[in-house]
Amino acid sequence: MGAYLIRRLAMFIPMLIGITVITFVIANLAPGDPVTALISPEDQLREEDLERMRRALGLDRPIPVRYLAWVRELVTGNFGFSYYTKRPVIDTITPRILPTLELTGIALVLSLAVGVVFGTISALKQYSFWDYALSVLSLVGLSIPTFFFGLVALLIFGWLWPVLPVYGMQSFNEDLSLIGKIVDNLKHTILPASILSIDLVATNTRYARTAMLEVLGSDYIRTARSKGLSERIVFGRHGLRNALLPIITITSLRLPLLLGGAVVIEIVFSWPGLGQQLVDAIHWRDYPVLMALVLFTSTLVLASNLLADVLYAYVDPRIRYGEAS
Amino acid sequence: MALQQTIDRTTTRDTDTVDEITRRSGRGLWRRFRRHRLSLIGMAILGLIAFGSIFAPWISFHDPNFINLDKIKEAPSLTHYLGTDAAGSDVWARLLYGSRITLVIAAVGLLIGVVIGTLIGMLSGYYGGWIDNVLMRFTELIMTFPTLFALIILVSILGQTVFNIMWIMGILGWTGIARLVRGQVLAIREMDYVAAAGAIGASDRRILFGHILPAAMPYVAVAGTLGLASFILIEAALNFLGLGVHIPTPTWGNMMKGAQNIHTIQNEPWLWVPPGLAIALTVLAVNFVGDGLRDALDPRIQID
Repeated sequence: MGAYLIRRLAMFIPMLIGITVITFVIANLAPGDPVTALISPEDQLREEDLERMRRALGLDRPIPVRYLAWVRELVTGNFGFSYYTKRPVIDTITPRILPTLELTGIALVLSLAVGVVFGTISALKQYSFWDYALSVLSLVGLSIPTFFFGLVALLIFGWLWPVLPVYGMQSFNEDLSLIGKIVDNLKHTILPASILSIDLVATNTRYARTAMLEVLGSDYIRTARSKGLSERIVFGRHGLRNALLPIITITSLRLPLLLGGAVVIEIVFSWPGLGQQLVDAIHWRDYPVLMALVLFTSTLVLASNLLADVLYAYVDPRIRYGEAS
Repeated sequence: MALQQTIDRTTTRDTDTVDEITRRSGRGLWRRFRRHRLSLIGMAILGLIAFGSIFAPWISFHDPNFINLDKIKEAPSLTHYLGTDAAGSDVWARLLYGSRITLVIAAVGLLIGVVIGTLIGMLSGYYGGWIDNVLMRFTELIMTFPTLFALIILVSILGQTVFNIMWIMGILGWTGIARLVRGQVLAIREMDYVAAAGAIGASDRRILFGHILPAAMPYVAVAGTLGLASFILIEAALNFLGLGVHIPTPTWGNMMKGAQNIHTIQNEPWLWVPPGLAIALTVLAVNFVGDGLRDALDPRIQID
């Protein structure tokens, strides 16, 4: 497991560098210089000072040198200054991170739980009515655009049957206790998170079904049964665990889609996260903020993929004991 | 008749190889595909949508971009089957003409993605070694960028035109196909006929495009069909956010853009329900077809 993890970790750094290179290329396509954007607009500078700063930042240098200068600033936490708010980008983005992580995190957990349950039902009752119904339903779930679900939810819960909040992530009610605030926040999460998860529930159902069928047909399940183990142990200890393995990989591969879906959901439900920040920044042509968003989300995906690999290594004894790579 | 039966019996005895050969050559694919009832329904729906798209001028009697400020947001009537939108344009006409832009963007974008993905997958799988390593790490790198984030930003920087949206979707959306094709090429490369082609001195290019590509083609078709579904959805999301094709050019996504307030959602459902259903129905039909193709070909393929 050690060697496997070290190999995975070793891949992390070049990938991270790759992400910064691509972001830098995109930044150079945008009007305005990425390094100029690092200078605070509130500093009133004389022309020669500006010139000196440009030279200090390496703006007169060739592109690779400028890339290095830019990365050096990134490492120190300087993501530049927002064109719109005139404040450091990092201050603009930071308050948006937690809402998006909450939304996508809950959607992810939901999709895993519901998807695995649905997939298992499908596999255990293969070719039954439920199997058929679930597979058609998951295709339908995959096909309806997230924002259409969102608009329908706004129609139902915003008007016809207003039992759940459809706007923002908390009520404008100051005198709630801490517990009250958490409950209030979770109530706000229910609709956006479950709609965001639909797509992933559908894919997880399909993959869980396939994985479960494959596992149930394998020799070690027959061995477990012939040893006289109860169905519960056969299924719970031998079946489910092995079927979960591919789900880990699939889920980590779908993360970029989940973050993309969050953009749409955040707009529909006025959720104050990174997705809304993205759309606002586009309208304001706020390129430094956009670049930081690309960097942050792709690094998040990269880190989650690494986490999934570690998890996989931990769950799969073949990797844990260094049998296969 | 009797002879045919004998041939059938002898040729199907070694089921594995026969299955493998028919699967690879795509023969028998259509036969198995036809058995899949949902995919036939999908084909029928797609035929209907293609009909509406092609014959739009004959099915609607209004100019989709005609602005009539006296007739803003009128409810459906006999003159305007699906009512009118915020500019007084006929929604039914915009729905029909919108299908053209929507489907063309998704299809051309997909085609670009399929070509890039197939090429990278083939080179990676065939040559292996450091070429494979570099190409696959690059593929994984592209995969870490959330597609919608990257698409929104690139389109806004380079300009919100139909052309830009198509090629940017293409250069962002090839990774799944590349990985699938690579996997298939790894298997095809080991087959006897490929070795035979190499033995008689066929060039790499000839082996790749003459022998390996045709065998990988059914897989590309499945991945491409399922990819079309996600391309339509992503393009619709981009337009729904108002960051895609500029109004007045109609797309199904940007027709729903005006429906982002509770008043419209409640009182003017004809503005957002028809395009929403059109997207859902099209994507569902494409998914039915893709699913049928996959089951006919090899139910185990997974496309990410």
